Amino acid sequence: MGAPSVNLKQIIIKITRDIDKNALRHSALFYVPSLATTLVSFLLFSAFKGFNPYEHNKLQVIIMASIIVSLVSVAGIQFLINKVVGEASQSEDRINQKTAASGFIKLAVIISAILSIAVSVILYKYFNQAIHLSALEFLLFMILGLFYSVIWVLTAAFWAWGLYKYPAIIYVISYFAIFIFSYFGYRLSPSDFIIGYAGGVALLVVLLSFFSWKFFRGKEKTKPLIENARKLPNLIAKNYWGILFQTFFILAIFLDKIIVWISEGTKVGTGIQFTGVYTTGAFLGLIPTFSLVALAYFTEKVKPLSKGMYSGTLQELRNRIQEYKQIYTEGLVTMLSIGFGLLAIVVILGQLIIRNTDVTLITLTIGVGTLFFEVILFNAFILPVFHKSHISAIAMFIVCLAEISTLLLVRDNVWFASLGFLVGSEAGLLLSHITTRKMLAEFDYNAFRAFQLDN
Amino acid sequence: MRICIISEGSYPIVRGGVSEWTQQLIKELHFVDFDIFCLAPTGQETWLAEYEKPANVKSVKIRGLATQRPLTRKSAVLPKAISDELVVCMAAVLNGTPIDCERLASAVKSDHPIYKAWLTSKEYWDFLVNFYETNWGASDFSEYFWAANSIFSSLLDTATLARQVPAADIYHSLTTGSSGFIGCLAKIIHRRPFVVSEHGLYMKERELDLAKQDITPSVKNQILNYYKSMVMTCYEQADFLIPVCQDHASKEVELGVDPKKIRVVINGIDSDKFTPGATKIPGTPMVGCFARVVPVKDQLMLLNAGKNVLDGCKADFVFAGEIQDKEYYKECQDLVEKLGIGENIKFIGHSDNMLDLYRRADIFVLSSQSEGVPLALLEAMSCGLPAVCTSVGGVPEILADTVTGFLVQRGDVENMSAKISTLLRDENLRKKMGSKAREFVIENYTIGEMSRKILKIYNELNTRETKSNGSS
Repeated sequence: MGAPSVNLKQIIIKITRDIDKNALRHSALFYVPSLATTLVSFLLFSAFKGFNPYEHNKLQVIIMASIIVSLVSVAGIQFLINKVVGEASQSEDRINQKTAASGFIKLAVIISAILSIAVSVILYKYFNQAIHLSALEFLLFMILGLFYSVIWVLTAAFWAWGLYKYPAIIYVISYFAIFIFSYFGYRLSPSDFIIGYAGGVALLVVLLSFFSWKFFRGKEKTKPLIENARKLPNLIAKNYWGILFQTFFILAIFLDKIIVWISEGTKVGTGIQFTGVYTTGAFLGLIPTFSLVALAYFTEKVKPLSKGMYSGTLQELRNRIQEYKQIYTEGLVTMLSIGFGLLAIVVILGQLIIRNTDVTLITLTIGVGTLFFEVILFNAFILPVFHKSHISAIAMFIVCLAEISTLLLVRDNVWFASLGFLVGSEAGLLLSHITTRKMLAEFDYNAFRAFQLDN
Repeated sequence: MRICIISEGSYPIVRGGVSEWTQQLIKELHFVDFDIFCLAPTGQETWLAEYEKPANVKSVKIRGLATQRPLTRKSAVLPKAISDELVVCMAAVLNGTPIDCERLASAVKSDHPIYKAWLTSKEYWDFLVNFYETNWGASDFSEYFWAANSIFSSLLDTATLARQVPAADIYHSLTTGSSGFIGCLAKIIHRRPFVVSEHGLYMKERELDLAKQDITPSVKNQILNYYKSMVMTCYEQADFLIPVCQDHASKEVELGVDPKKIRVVINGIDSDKFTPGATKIPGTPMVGCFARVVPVKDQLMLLNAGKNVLDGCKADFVFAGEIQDKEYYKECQDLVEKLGIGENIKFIGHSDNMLDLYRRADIFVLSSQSEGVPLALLEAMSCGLPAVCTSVGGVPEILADTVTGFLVQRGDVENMSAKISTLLRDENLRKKMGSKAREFVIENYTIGEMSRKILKIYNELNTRETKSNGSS
């Protein structure tokens, strides 16, 4: 059995012919929350012009920092949620497993809240001295961080169970509310904008909590929290590579930006400064990540294949493996094609509309890096099958490392931060893809070997 | 002379016929030094307090058979020569043919877990796939893979354990299973003679065990081939085979063992200890079944027979013997309840005073599906009890049908209940048969005789080895 070969034309014909509508619907719904978040955030930061630059920056710091800090601090928990709830959803006894999942979700919410507060407290000194946040502003940052932590955990739980509709609807409603509340807050006084924003986020927390309680409550009483907590060390020990992967993945997305923001902030004395050029270019460059819809589509499409994948004769098993590899290749090619297309559009439109070559260069660098980065993510879905989660974690760590290595260069030219992301992603891609191809080339041997190590 | 006894799930960790036999042998041969190497189920690696350790036992090693070493994440890269040697041995196991112990012993040179890690190597995978495609192509691959994996894991555990067997003049295994296989490897490692006693027919007993398990026929065949491979290796490697009865000897010859290698040594008991008691206490007669509660003893059959008996006679059935298989015991309890005979059936478990039970009993019954020469039967006969037993293994060689008791076919519930009822109804017949039974045991089955025969085998091998060493 060789590694899958790529015939683009055939693949495109096959994809259009065999398109799995259900998988497509799920993968599209999976992207609704991200779309709603990005769109509303963009509108909020660009539509309201009544702030002085200092206040505007501060607001951005509070919102962006709360999002990033919460994402990083709950990354590990998100991975565990995905694992525990995902496995429960695959169980034949889904009703009772729902109760078990619900117990773990409660614990995850509590832990992520504690983690988020702990990280905020650690950052207090920096935020107070370097960014000059007042006690009230810091409190708002902390509350938003707490809210977002809960939001990420609950969203992960819905997705892990295979429920995409609930979060999609809730996010659309809530982000609409966030926009409205922020607008009314802003109308009262620009300084109240953030209160309105926090109110909208609170609504998102309430809606997600209510629907997750409604959906995940089982017929039986959930086990006491302490019982779930006792299982946690074992769960962490078994999944530490996955936890590291998720954490490095989140860090890798933001590290280049954080480096630039701090570097620029140190220069101008604001602590953190949201530069227009890099932030615009970097976020535009991340637009091709929407092609990850192909990964969501792929994961949905292989789900039925994965059940009973290894039953029957060796020939039957190898036929299924062949199909799996085919879907993998199709998914990868589709993702890269969409990503490449999106990048081309973003770069061309960006240059035409913004007319800033610095922005375009950053967009292009980040965009190409994003395509490589996506392949690492795509492979991260497959590598655990072969007990190779550590490869994905190391690949993501390489991206982070490359970003950090640009620390001194960024002071001269912010573009180096995007170069760090690009080089790191390419190096990570090489490691991840060489390993994946090696695993896929001898799929049956490598999969059974992984099972042996599990037992 | 130093003898290393290699046992498996018996002496000195579990009570039962084989353990009694070993304890008696060691005590009787008090002038010979013994080392004990015992393979035990995990968690049972302690010397049973009931067996006082004889002074001539010089060392004891009790090792868990399932060492459950975790596999290392890194596949072991063994030199090709060693990998090839292992592949040949594994092929023999899957084919149910004798394993080349020279190859295996030379491949497995230490008890390092690397050999188990080899089970995750590409060489091993290719071998398994090739073998599957040639022989098992139409069966479920996962089942085949996992069965092979657990077989080879156990084989490599056993092979590495052989490295821990102490140096001795002669290796004496008590069965042809894993302990026999370790004996074969000890023979190769230490270049000393090896003998194996067969108290029961290992293959037969494993077949019976497997028949009751809910596994697919192809997996069953795989496991049986593994057992067969170990047994055939023992037959090939043993300098002498010591069956406990002629019946076993004939079966060994049928399986290809050279008759010259076979030395039948019938079990013996202490007939001065096992004597009839004072006059029986009047009342409901007692039918005693004294055997470990395990499927091979088929207590279920006796319970069904008991129901028929109790429909026509008054009797109390007493089952004494260690409850080794809890699940099987539960099955027995359920059957008692279903048959509604709970009032007359007692499972008392292990008893420290078997002599008292023999003396209180009126009839001895054994419903085994497979046996060697059951010590319990000899002890019961020595105590003057008539017996009703299934005609399996060496039982027909001790129990003379219609003279010292009755023989029935394995699983023949009707006949067994008829014979028990006959004895229950006729006290004189019981007395007559019991008295003849005791006479027969005194004449033929004493410990002294048994020990002398075993010693003769040890001496013969030792002399032969000394001579061959001298000449070389």
